[in-house]
Amino acid sequence: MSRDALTRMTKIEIVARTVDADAVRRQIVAAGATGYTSLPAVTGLGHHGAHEGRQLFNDRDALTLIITVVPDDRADDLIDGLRSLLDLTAGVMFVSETFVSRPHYFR
Amino acid sequence: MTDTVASARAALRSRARAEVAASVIAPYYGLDAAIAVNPLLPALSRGYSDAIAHAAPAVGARGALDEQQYRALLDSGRIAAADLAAAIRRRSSGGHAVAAHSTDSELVESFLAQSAPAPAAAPTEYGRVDELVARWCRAALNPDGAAWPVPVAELGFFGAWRALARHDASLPRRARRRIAGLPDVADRALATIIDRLGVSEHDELAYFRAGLARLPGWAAYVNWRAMTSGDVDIVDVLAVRAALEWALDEPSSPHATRGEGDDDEWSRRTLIWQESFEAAPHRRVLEQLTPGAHAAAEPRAHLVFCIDPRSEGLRRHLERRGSYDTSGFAGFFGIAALVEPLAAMQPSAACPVLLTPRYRVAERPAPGAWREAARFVRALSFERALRSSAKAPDSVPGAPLGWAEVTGWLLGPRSVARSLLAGRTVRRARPDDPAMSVHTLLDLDSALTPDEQLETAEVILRTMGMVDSFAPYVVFLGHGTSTTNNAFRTALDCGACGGHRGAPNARAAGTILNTPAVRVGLRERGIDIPEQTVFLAGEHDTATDDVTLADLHRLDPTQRAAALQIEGDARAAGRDLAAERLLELPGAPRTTSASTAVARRSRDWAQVYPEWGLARNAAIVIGPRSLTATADLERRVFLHSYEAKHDLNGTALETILTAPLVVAHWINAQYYFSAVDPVVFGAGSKTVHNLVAGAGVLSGPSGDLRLGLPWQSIGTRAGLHHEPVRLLVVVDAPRERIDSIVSRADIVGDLVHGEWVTLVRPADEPGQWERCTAAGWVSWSVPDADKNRGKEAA
Repeated sequence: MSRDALTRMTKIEIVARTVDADAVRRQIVAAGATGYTSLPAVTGLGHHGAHEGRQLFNDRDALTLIITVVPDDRADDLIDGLRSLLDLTAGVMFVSETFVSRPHYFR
Repeated sequence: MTDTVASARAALRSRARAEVAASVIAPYYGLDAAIAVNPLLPALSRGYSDAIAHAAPAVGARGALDEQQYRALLDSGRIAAADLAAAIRRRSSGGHAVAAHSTDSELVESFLAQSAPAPAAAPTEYGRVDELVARWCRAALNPDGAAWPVPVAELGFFGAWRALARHDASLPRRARRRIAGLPDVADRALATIIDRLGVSEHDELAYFRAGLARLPGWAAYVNWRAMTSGDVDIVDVLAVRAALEWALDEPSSPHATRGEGDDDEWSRRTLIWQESFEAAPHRRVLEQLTPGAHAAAEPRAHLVFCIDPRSEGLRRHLERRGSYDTSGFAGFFGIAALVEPLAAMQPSAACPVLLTPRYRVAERPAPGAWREAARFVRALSFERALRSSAKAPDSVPGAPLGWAEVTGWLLGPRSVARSLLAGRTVRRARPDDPAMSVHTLLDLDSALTPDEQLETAEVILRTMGMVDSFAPYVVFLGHGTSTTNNAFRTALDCGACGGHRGAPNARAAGTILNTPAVRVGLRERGIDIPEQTVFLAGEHDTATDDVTLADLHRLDPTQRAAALQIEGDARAAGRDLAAERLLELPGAPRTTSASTAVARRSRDWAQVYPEWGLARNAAIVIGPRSLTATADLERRVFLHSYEAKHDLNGTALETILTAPLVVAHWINAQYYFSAVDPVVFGAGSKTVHNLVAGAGVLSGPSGDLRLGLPWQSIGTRAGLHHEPVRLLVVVDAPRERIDSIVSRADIVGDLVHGEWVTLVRPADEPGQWERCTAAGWVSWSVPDADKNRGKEAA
């Protein structure tokens, strides 16, 4: 299947501390996004060094990856709001164009 | 000022800043599962010194005892001059360097000749807007208790307020008109008002923080609701506040804070005072520890307790009674479950709040015990219905007056009898109690696959370091409390079980480890549990010091006889412990036996001191029991068992430092802050508490939700019973292993490098200690105990 048959949208991915993840999710919902995917306990190496996944008896001291897809006309407001949040908390955001097969799910 | 409505983008920006503003306030978990949390948790990564200088004043609070209190402690001998001098030397650097030849008295004299002003705290007097916001929080967050229907479920927190406020005759007409013209969505309304009030983007965060600092209790509770049910968030609360301020022309001004560097001298002095204050209790722990000692062999039974300091006393008394080994483990015993007791209306999360429950375990009648179980459930249901009927008129305006007229002849004498008998009545079971009196079992097979049970069993044993030399009987002993008419009951239950009683978790852990298939799997993984070893479970009641073992009906006669002997010895140890505890309880009678006296207190509905809980906690020891076996730690120390030789890759230590240590710190910090500022961080006196459903308490009819611990958990009329000291953390593990975890786990690094705790380990030279600091390991000693002992507070 070529991309011509798909609908272009904006994908926003945020890696945030789990304690801040709720604020990110509320921002996404308030911007009118119809959904998001949340991946708890992500691991990796970044600006603050290596991050392990969830500790055995502690879910909260970890990082969470949150992914949402929004129509382009809604993206800039959300990006602006998320930047306001991330300017004052730890976390990074990646924005990219994406193509979806069921656009009505995201509107 | 314009009349335009803010754009979606502006609304999202305001939302972001509101979220950041709220992030300095730790969530408050309410009373249904009162969990201890460091009230300055969001400022944890900034370190203790910064948090007490900036985060505490931002909510109108004091972050440490004041200079006068410290000086009084020095005058009384509680702080030893030598400890103060040692702290001055430790903190001497840069512009505060002290001459090497200075004597202790010269240093102390020079220190006392100086002073530094404390950071200015935000004002805490209530204004009209505060009162209106608090009233709405109370009605909207507990709609069942409101005097009239509150449409929060339909319109949301802000939308419902706007719908009602526009018709509220107590507000001026102009204010109502303004409110009616606002958008009905909270973030849009908030951004609109911010624009109309002329608050610049630069000042927005400070404006929000000032608003939240007016009612930090409700803000903390809303933070928790946002985390859990999600039906309200901090934007709603700020929108209501901002709308009232704008509508009534009463804008609040941000709290004027001093610059970041202005409080450095105050912080330095406070750290010196605090360290010298902590030296005596920390020394009492360290001087009793015996690194390298060997454990006794061949115990009759091994009892596993919660790490809670209240267990330390029972362990000590039990070990004196015979050949018993004991160890400490987080009281949920690795069972991260939603537990549904037999007669409970709904399950509850019986695990630390750091964890999300991973499965649901229901208590079911044992085979053949259906009839007995049905009777038990029916009796509790009947009692619940009766109680609910008796309380129903409370929520109808005016009805309590008529209800008292109708039922006073019946309930009045009952109340008089209850008061006169003061604890001599029989205690009734609570519906959420595990059904210890009925033969039941926990349905683990429906909750966990065989592989998950094996995994759970291995984690429990390896984290405790219990991988060989099993005793014939191993008992998991959870704990809970039996008190009456006590809004803070769950604060006395097991914190590791999410503020619930610990028996279900103990029973679940025991059941898993008795499962033959699990034992086969464990053997393949190198843990060989002898066939004759039986795992038992029970509970220590911390108010009465009674001990009950569960599920004895499942044992054969020989095993049952042995279990009854263990139970008998534990009960005798409990009586010894009750006698020890009674000496510290206010107003305790000296004429009745200790166990009778504490049992009566637990049933007395007028008793505000049923037990001291975790007051006076001062340290946590992570190491083998041989390290503390000869010590009397006076119920002030959390004890977590750890065997470094069984944990070569450090997994168990990482688990302990990232979870039980964190929980112990939260408890320690809650007691600390409730003691240093009982007005803002404490909950005030129990005697004037007004309950708001499961949310919390108010002091009097309205106002802010009271956070923290009530005064009766930390002090008496004579003053503080709890000493606000930070936790001493003793870890008996190799230096490199600790280093690796401190550098890898942010939460542990924040605690240790931020000086929220003092982490030490036995140094290579016998009898010496070394401390983990941001600058590396340093030799750690407290001045010579004989010369410099500070008198312990009464």
